[in-house]
Amino acid sequence: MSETTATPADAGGRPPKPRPAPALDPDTAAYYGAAREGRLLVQRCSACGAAQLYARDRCLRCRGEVDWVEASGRATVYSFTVIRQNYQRPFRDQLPYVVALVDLEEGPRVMTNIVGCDPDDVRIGMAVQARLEPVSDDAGIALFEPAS
Amino acid sequence: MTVRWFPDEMPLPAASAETLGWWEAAADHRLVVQRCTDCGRTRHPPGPVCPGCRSAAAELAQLPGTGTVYTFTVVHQAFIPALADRVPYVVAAVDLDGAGGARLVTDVVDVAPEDVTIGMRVAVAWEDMGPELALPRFRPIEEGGA
Amino acid sequence: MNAKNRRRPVIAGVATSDYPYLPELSEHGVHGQVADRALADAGLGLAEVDGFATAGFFPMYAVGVAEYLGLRPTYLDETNTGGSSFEVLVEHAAYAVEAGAAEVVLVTYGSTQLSQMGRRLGTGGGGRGAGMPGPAVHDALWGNTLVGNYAMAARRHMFEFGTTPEQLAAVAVTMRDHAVHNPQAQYRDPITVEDVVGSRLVADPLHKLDCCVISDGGAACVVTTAERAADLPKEPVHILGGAHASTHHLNLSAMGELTTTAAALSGPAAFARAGITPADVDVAQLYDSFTITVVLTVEDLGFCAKGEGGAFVEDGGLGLGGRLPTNTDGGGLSSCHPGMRGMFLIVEAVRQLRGECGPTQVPGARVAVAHGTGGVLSTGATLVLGKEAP
Repeated sequence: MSETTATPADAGGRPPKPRPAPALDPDTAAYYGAAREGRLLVQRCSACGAAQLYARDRCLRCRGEVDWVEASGRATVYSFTVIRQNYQRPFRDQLPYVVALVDLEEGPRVMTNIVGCDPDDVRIGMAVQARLEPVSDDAGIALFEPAS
Repeated sequence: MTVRWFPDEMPLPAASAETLGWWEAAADHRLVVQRCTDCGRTRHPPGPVCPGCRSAAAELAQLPGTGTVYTFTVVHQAFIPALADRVPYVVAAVDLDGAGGARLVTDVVDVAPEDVTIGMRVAVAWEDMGPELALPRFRPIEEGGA
Repeated sequence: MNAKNRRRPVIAGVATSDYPYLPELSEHGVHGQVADRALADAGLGLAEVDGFATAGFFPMYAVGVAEYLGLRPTYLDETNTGGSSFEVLVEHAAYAVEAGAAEVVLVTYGSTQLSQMGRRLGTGGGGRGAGMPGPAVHDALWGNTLVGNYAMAARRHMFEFGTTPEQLAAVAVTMRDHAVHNPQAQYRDPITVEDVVGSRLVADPLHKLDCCVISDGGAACVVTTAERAADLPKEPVHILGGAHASTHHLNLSAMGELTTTAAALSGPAAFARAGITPADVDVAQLYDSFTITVVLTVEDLGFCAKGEGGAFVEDGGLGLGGRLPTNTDGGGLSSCHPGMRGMFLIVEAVRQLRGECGPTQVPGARVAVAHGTGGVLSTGATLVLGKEAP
């Protein structure tokens, strides 16, 4: 799929539609802001050490205080699907593409797109690496591609 | 097309199966009220069954188009940018003559807001919002007698 | 409840957030703050909470806040009566603990409406967000579709247990077999396994015929007491027990194992409350948004072991003469699915127990289960109904 670039204007002359960008709030701003700068972050609990995503106010396990640490970007595919039907722009112009859940090396599981390979080559257990891309002026997202 | 009191950007109604007849009458500049044909009770807005006797049999009865202001408010704050030059305007609940107690929320136009009173007599003034949609506003009327 | 064992509902902890300005917290973060403080006031931890209630302005709001707090509650309430909601939620919670349906119910409220007016959601070019505040945004960024979530669960089930597309297809075939006898069903022409796996892929590995239909429709029921029903024309059907749970909301990444659903929490609890085991169930109405949903549900409700759902449903396993007659009206896969078909499950279960189902009647049905699945395998609710009083 064309990762974060918008699709070209369609035959009807409508302007290209970008892929959805996240709404930023006090929980999400740090994560997506860092991704905009090319850094993948996870929350780590200062009391029990658990790592978590998505961002919450406190630790999911023990309600301890959390801060941000940089993640390696390495992950494994937990499950995936090849989307072959989606009527919404811009995705309908990019079929087929892969939506996956990947487990970061640090522990948390995130949803993403697997890019940089044929959708038919994706496998559960495959090693992947984050590729951070901007998606709006103040947010980036983490796509994943096969680890080299 | 009639005079326009409100801008095109106003939120527009969506007709449903129960209300379509009412809106079609409005497009023809006819003020009507739904009346149960089993027990005679009127209702507004139109609905699928009579709240009194639960019958689904109903008709749309023509009204004279006059009424009395039951209560009102003067809106000073534009809730959409297009109304910034329109405020202040008057939103009122009007008791419709001949409607068995049915009351319509509408706007009172062609009068200064400070001159609107409860009990004021008003008559419908249709505003064509588009080729198939007219909304009933109300303007003050003088009635005969000293 | 006899007086000897009576459980008396109480409020054990209370708290407020910092207020009136909370620019540093998200709306869900406010829920987190008051949850921590109220539990601390009560001398309890979040791990001891088994019930959760709140009210907000979006569908499944309570389920979303539960996901945010990491809760998997087995009692949920989101009754929204506007400003009075929280009194109602506490009243309901009192009934729940009194009835033994919950031990500790956390009721929270959170809002950042003042800060949100000043904080433009989706700032920057092209920022659209997901509309709804909070966590739902995370999984919404990837062009995933609703089917895609169930597809990822199906792929995982195939990976872990060797379930095949043909086994999933068997569910659709049986639902269609039942719909043949339902004059109102949206689709009534019989289909084969080959038809299902030959239909086009929507989100790998789910094909078009693995997915429910899209319909209009509605359903309803009336709940009263057996005493009142004694004067009514039809034999009443008894509610023997029920239970529900949520594990996450719309972020599949928060679900944990994709091959076990909230039914594993709601099913055993409902059966225990009803005093039955899976072997006692004569007929089942199971939410069939997708074929995989049914396979996961029969496992999680205990009709077969985890991983054996594929074998359970194939070769007519869910048919009238099979292991567990299921969705005798044709289900969401063939009859109708207006978006949330849980009430249809209850109606068909009642009709089975009344003996009204004609060609799809399970002879002598005495115990029926209706199980609803919501969100993206996020919630489960199991109802056990019986022909006779408990």
